Amino acid sequence: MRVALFVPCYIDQFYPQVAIASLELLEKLGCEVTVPAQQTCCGQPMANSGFAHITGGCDTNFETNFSGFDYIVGPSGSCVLHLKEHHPDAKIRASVYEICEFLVDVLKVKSLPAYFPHKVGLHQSCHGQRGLRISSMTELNEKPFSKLTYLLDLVEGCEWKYPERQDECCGFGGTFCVTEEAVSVKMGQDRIQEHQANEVEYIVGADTSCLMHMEGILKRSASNVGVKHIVEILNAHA
Amino acid sequence: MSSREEIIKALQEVKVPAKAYPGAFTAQVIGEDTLADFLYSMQVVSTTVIQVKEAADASPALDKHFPNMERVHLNPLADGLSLADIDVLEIEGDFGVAENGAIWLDDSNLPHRVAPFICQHLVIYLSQNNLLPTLQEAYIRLGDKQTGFGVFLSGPSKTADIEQSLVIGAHGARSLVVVLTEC
Amino acid sequence: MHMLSHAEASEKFIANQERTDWHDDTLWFVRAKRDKASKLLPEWEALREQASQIKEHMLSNLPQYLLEFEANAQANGVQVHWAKDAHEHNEIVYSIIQKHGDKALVKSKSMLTEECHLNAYLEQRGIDVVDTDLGERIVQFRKEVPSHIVLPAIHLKKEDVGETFHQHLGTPKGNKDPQFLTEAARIHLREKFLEAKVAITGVNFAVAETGEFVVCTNEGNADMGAHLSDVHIACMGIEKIIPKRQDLGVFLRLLARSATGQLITTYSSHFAKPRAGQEMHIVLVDNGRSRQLARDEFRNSLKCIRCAACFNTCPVYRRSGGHSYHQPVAGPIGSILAPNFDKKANVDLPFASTLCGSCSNVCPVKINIHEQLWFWRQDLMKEGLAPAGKVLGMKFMAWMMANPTIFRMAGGMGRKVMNWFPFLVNNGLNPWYKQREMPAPPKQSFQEWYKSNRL
Repeated sequence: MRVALFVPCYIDQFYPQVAIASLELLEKLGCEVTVPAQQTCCGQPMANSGFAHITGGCDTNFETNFSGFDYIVGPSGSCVLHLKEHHPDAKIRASVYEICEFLVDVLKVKSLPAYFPHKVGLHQSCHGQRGLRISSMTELNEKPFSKLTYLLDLVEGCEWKYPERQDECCGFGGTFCVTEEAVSVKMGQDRIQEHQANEVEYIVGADTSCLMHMEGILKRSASNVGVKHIVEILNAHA
Repeated sequence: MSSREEIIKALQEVKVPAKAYPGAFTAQVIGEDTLADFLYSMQVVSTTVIQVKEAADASPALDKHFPNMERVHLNPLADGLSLADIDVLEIEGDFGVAENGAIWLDDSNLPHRVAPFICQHLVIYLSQNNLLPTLQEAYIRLGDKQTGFGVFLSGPSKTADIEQSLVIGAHGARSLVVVLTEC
Repeated sequence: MHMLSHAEASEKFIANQERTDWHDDTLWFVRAKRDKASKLLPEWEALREQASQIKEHMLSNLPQYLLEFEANAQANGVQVHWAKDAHEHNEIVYSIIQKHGDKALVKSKSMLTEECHLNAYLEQRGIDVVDTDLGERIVQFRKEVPSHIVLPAIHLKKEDVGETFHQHLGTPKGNKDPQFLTEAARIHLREKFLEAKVAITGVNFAVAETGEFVVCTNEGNADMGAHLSDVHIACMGIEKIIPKRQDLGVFLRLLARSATGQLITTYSSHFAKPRAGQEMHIVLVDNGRSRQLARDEFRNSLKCIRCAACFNTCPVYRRSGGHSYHQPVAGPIGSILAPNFDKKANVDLPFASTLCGSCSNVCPVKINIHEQLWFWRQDLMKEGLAPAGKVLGMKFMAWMMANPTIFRMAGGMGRKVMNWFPFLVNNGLNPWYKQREMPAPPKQSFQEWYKSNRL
């Protein structure tokens, strides 16, 4: 199984540990992983700002880097959703996966050699949840399920908690986080408060952008709650 | 060209892909027990239910419920305005809906349309043989009955427009009593 | 007067943190009630699908259904009027009032008349318009506009209402008890109902097959107005048509459950014929709807039944208040309707969202609201309505991301100066930094790590 690891631009630059954990985890599970060296960005920041009409170069570069693999896997629900919905190439759209859905749906992981003895608060990033249906949504009359909690339950020692509002947005929203700064930060503060009420050590999610936003707020208030991408936990060693 | 023609023309010029009418929707019956469901809904919509064998049996309970208040059983009353002074108005309901407590009233039960709204308190007599599980059955029952005015009424009037605090008795009746008869 | 953008108005709203939290919690509670009510119906999702399909079918046959409705309404003895735009709507309503020589009227809630600014139009002509929905009467006294289409005064606290009623109705100063204030409004408005010769109502649904229309309220104000008046004028957007009476069974099961978590509104009133001696008028209004119908991406916004479930679930709306949307219909649905009226004035609204998608999930007629927000963004930016700085930034970023070498180079510098990503400029002017820290820059990017460890 030839897997290309898609490392979103800001993860490459600011959160290399998330990409490293993704790479190690996929290899551990038997995938032959390639990291295309000339990859940059999926184009989402421009498209969600209303500039999808100028992302042609970005799309072409993505296609050049990621054609010919069985699967394209990335640790970011929102970037993957953008590609699935908007990339012009049908093969790209069909083969791109968010890493948790890839682990559950394609690799059908039943166990993980992971150990993480901490209490974590689970943040359900909207694009992964509502866009990719990584978990059920509280608005719908549907049977509850979650690929994230399924995976966290395979990790020894890890205790997870939902915040009181189980799937409310954190307020990152791409450029929304600066163009609507006041609302964005208030949304983030409110999410964090609910996680803190659960006395968690880390806020965990499958989208680094949400975590970056909440981490920024946590650090400003000198909180001792940290953030972690879920792959860092799934790849945590005993 | 009139505005009517202009609007119709503008709409006709838009090529909207055809979408078929989905056909009638069949409701799933929620509970097994329509009467129990109706009683539950009545509770949710702050309505008192008096269960009796026949209508006349309700008098003692109504006397107790509305002490020292005049109850008017609605006979044809000419003037809508004079209804404003009525304390308790009694009318017949056509049928009731278990899932939401709605009771159908129309011109055939209402000598004046404003009656169930303008009175201070309302009593509706309803036979428990005329309970339907959902609103969908209610519209089947209604069929193509021609009526000038009809209303599904569920509970007394209410509002929560001040800080979302529920207040019973907005512009319409301040309370509703349903007399549910066995026959 | 400079109209505040959504972001500017939100910042002012949020400055009062206690009130923002109250607003957020209160509307979240309404959303929670909606969740509970919807989950009691096993066929909820099928009902939404049915409602959506009925509305889509209606939109694909709108002129036929309008004509069918007109013919049936006329056969019922109702006078039907057609208005191309807001101005014509207001003229029609005014001419009916003038014919009867009245100076006062009672009006129940109608978002269409808000959209047409009917109150201002009539007041300029000496007509005293009395809004009779409690929330609308409160905001009318305060010379404000509704901040929510179902809960018009949700931006106010009971203290505010107490003070307003003290000034306008002479209630005792300091009395803020909702029960007492509601009773005061009941007494005040009963007088108005009994006096008024003309009543205006909105329309929730108009049935083509029967020519009847349905108006839903909890307070009973639409019925008090309509049944006591000599003239009843019902104003409706042309998209309010549904094909058959049986469809009401679908929509009325969805409407109140979605709006407030109620099983049904207290009154679902079906008006077909005027009562003896009464005149009944219906004004069918286009006002941009035929234009929206022609936009493939936005046509479905016309399915809306104005339940406001998308307001209550929207994390942005709950924390910014309805007035920040500077439109009669606020919230997510307002943000996809508004650009149809005026792109330039409403360019900020499709951006007043994180695209979280919750709005589309609660929508009882399955409007893809968050996708339409995305489409409006594309439409508005393509039309050149972005500030010059944003265009430059986006073009620069798109260029850089299409050129991997430049991206790597910029990244290498960027982790020190962080000026390549539009929201991560490390200086005091960057809104990111106002209340958030930057991510700590790592020594190596992932690609650098990969090169030194794996290649």
